[in-house]
Amino acid sequence: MNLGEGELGNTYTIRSIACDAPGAQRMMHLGLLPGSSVKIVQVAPLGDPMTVETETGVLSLRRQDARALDVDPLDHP
Amino acid sequence: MTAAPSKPLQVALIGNPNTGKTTLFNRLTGLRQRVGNFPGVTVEKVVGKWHAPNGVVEFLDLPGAYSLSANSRDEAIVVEALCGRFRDIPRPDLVLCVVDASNLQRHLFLVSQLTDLDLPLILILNQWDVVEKKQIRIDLDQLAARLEIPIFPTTASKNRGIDAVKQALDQILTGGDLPHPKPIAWPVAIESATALIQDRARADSGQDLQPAEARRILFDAQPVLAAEIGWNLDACRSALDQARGLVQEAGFHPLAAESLLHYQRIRGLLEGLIQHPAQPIRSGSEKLDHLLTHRVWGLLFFFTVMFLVFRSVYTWAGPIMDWIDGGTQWLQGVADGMISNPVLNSLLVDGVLAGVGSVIIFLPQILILFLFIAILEDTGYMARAAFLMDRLFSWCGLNGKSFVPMLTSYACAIPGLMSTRTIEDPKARLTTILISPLMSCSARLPVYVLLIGTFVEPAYGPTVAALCLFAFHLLGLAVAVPIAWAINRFWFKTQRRPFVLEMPAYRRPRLRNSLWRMFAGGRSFLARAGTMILGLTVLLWFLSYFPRDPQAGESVRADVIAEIATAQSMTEPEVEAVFDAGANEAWTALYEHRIDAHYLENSYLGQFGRTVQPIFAPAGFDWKITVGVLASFPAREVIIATLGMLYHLGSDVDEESTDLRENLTRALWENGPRAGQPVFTIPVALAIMVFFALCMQCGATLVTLARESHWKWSALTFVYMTTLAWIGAVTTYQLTRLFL
Repeated sequence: MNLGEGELGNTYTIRSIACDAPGAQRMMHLGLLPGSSVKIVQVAPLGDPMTVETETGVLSLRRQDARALDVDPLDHP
Repeated sequence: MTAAPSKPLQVALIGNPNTGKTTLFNRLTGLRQRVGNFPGVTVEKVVGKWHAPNGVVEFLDLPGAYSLSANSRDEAIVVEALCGRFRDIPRPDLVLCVVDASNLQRHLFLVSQLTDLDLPLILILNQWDVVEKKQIRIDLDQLAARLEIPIFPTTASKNRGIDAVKQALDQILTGGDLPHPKPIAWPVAIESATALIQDRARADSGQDLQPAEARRILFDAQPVLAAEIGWNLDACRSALDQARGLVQEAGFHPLAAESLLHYQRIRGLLEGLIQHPAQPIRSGSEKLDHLLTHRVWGLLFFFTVMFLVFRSVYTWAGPIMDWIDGGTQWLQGVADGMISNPVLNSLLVDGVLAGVGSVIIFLPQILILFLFIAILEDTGYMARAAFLMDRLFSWCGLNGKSFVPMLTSYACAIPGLMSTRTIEDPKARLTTILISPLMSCSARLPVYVLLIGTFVEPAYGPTVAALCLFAFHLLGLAVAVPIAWAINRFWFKTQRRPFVLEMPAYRRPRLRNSLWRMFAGGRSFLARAGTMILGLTVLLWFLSYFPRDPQAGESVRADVIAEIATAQSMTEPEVEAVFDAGANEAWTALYEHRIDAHYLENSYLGQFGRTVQPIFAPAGFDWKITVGVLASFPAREVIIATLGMLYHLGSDVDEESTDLRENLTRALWENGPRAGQPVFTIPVALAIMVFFALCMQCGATLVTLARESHWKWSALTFVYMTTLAWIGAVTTYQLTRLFL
């Protein structure tokens, strides 16, 4: 699945990144790299964009841009 | 390499947004700053000076950047300035990189990129107080040893740690060593790809690229830097394919290699140096964030804040603006007659003084808005507001941060346009700039009040009048949204811009910092737009003053005397005697108003208005309205004064003037097919209002728009808005004529 389909409150691990997608490079520069985890902590009132917590800070992403991130859901304890 | 004491030490300040870089810059330089533009782009360049004990340090504040990566010309200036590509900006002797101490892992990315530049570097860990509060321990000595550069912890907002930085700079002035960082070690494949790009660039364009510049072209999705150095894009593409092939062969994706390698290095650099407390100390940030971005409470808070901002810009500025207006008029009154030459006197009073007044009149709104923006940004709320509003705006190419400029433009487009600086995405910013002047600003209000009060209210009552006024305020917005969509769909056909926005931690705003930003906003307006607006006012003065027939006074006077004589059943010499004695003020005023009208009618502007009147005829405009429309080019509200002059009431009328309202209702077509019919009917009044709602009748907006983007965008906005206004006015007139 990709992060664009992610749900509020869930944590995901980035498996791979579509490097050619617009915005992918920006996200990588901000530390979203394969192996790092992202947690969706907030979704805007109209369903988009969403706020994600990463190891390198809190970012707001549009779902369309988040589709560049291929992720695995992390099992919740 | 050391800088001689006679030569100032050139220091560039760089850092991510939200690191307090500008606060640090202000602490280092104080008030000794100069504002300008980077060559070829509209990014503001601020330079400042510090007179150290042992010499002079010149600081250049580079725009905030997450990375050296350049996907637009605006972003490219950082690399270009650091590599000394600008003729007027010396290559820095030293770089001060400001990072957020509590988020080193990410902020060291830019630092790691900087180590590639072959420039001396000092690292500033700002917001050190947050690190202390969260009880995070960072082994600074080890980190400094690993990077081979000095590191200073600071809290610029509280003026802590700044002296140590200054001391270090002063030491360099006395001949101390410049600290060269340990560069990143690239894999062989990337070194060869870099060399390949350097060779091909030299062969194709004759330009020597530094390795770091070559790597920008190699790694960035868009090779913007290639175009900047004049490298043919096709030739560059072919070299790039080959170079990226080398990177790919080594097992890296060319667009991901840089991020992976830098972050890998950063992990090594920070290994074992940062210790978090066992129980992480949570700031209240998350709870607050949940509330402020909540779909009900968050939106409620958002609209309350925005209402407050708008009310303040709209109403707090009002009295100060009246005061400035009064001050200008007082000054004009004092200066009037001080020069005996009537042309120079008018140039001073109606040209220069009026122009200066028309520039500073914008300051209150700009200052108030910038104070609010400073508070919204410093607290971290601006990013949340952008997050809440993004969906509403993104579909038509704007983004969440377009809200503040558009709302502000309802008060005045000048501060509105300036506030687009908060929008990072250049295309969303440009789109916002292009549509903001359509919002119904407060200068359009007098036009609506005059025409609705004179024509709509007497015919349909106060409820329809109020609805009408409301509709005219919505018209601009209703037109702006599809235009924004069309601009993005058909004009900027290039790649969709991503929206990746950092949500900074909430922080208490610092008064000193907010006041500084307010001051900087006003300074930037005066420095960049002030003189142009002044020049425009003087130009319009010229066009409405010249040519002046010296005999005109006599002939108008004779006409007025004859007219009064007939009306009062007096002889002309009797009337003339009263005139000469100045005994009847009403008559003297009548004469003065007549001569003003005569001069305006026969000025270049008046002649032009008469010539182009046929263009406006389909909207029902006569030549007086046309001259009014043209004369109000520098500022919309001028049309009231112009109509006052043309209807022989002098220029001291306002929109509530009963004389002006009566004269408008009584005005008849002098000739042509509609001779004898009233000029102002409800359809004509509506057409004028539609025209003013959509047109670009504001010289100051035009200048500011150009200063915030480019003259070509200013010209485009003028053309599209005027066309739109004309079409709107003609359609309104022709349609409503059928029903009303």
